[in-house]
Amino acid sequence: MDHFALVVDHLTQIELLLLLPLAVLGGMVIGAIPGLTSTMAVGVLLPFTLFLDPLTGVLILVGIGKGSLFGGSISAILMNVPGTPAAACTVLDGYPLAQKGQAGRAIETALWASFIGDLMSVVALVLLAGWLASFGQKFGPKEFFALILLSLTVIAALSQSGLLRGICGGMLGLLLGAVGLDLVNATPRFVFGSDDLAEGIPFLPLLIGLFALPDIIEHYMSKARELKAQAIDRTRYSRADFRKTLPTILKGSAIGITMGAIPGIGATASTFVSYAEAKRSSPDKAEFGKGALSGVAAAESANSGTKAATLIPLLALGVPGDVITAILLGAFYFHGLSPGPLLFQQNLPFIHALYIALFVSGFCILIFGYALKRWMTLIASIPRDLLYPPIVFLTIIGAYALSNTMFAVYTMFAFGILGVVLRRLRIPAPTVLIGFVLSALLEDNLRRALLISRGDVADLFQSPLALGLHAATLIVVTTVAYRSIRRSRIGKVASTEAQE
Amino acid sequence: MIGARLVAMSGGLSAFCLGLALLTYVIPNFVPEPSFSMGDAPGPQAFPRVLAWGFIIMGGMDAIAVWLSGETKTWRKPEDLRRLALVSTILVLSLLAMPYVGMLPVGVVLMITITTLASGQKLVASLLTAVLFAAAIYLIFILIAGIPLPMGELWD
Repeated sequence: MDHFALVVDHLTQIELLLLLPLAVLGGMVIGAIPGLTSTMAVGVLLPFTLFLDPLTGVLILVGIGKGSLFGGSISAILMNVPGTPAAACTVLDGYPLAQKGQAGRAIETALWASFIGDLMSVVALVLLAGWLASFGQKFGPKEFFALILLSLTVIAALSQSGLLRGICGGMLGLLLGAVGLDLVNATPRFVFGSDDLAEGIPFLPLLIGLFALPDIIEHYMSKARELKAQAIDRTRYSRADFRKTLPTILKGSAIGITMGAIPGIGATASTFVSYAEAKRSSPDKAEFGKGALSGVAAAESANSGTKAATLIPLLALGVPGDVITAILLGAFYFHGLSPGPLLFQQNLPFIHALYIALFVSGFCILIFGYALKRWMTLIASIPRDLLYPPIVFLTIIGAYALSNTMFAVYTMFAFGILGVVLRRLRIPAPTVLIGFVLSALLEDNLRRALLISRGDVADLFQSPLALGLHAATLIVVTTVAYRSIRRSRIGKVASTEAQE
Repeated sequence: MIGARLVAMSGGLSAFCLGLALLTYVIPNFVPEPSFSMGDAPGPQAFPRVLAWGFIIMGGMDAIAVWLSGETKTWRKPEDLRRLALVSTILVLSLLAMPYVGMLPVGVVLMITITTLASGQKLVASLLTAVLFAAAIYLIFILIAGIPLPMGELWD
């Protein structure tokens, strides 16, 4: 079969045609309900996608992620609560618009901004991923080791808990990834006499445990109150609104793409940068925070702009930039695919089918956004107290379904407890997951590099590319450490002055 | 006051203690070095040892930084901890019962118990949600997908 026929073959599978729109729709509903996160949804549903064709399985997860990014804006606008962290900036102007009786206009603004941001992001993915993958062919073990180290450092440095705890989280993930038979000598490590652990800690129970259970347990711990949503009105996003907000949307999308393509930064940070830039460059600065359409457009275009862009380093180099892409990396592995330069050489029809399906899923957001508009108040008001128990049961079945053993279920529960403990200790769980996913790759490349250099550690720094990547790691660590020391000094001076 | 500062330092201190435990007890006892040599290449203990030192250094630095900043933090309220204990107990008992009673019956009881005991929702709403959801699971998993769920030793 020629290349075109293979791409068409991938895209015309009935499962894909049915499930991709459903995944986008499901993602929007999940994003709209405060307390249900896209990470939780992707984690809980991952086991069920593994029985599907690889393209369908991966696209369902991407579709949920994309849908939930827009869905997050619904509760931000109607309830003053961001449905996802990436919608935190949408609250600032979206909710005031809803209070003024313009919820419909705000939601349509978010919808168009998300749609354009998403399309631009997919274009960037198509243009850049192949180029980066061909560049990645120059990477040997020491360059890959340096790249993974840099990615982990950036992710740890940008975590909300600070550099040191971010690094501790990443190292905990690396340690958990080292459980099982050693890659080189097949020596059992940390198996404590258990046959189940000899194959390593299973990815799915760890993922579900760390990302689905703690949210639910925390919900019941704090007994969060249910929130009331504003009603949807008949106001529309007019052509004049579109013309006025288009420059902001384009700028926000570009910011989202740039920040999404760098591992570790992600959607939330990009929305703040985009919002600040929109406010800085706006002639109506005073309007921001009181119901500026450009504020909603800036935030939503940036967060959707990151989505496909996060796939650039994942597909081209096999390096995940956030939790969702780390989960996708796990899904790729489960389907027997290894993202990186080889994927572009061996599975190009798969990649091209993925690009086309990503474009299509963007249109799904626009269509479902309009179709769901009148139901959004109802969706956002679904009580979590009724939703969480079925989700708990679904996590148990998801963990069990893949291996048909209760060991997976017990492991999931243990990681659920670990997830709660990590939150108390303020060690970020996303860095744990990304460390876990990259552990084997990091250790394998390090040991292969040292095997080639006969144990000479200095050789790790002797290629210009590896040296450049290590220098970048050092710069990231130094910059973040300097900033946090400076911030704590300023905080101390301020508190001393306040006491005086 | 010192207690609140120690709570704030708990993340760094935990990492520090984990590193110490790995170096002194866990790695020597649970990561055996192979009997044959791989030349100059690092053995299976090398990577965990690097991580253990990382925990000690980063955890120690974090604990010191928090101490110097004077940051304080308190644990959760006793009521929250009671709720955590309640939900955890329900989950543990359910997981232990599943192999004996079966996944679906335990799942229904689990859903009803969590909804009514932990969140105080009405019994009828929780009962309806639980039964409908369990029926959907039975339909999708057992009848359509043919994935066997544990039916319970009790019924064998």
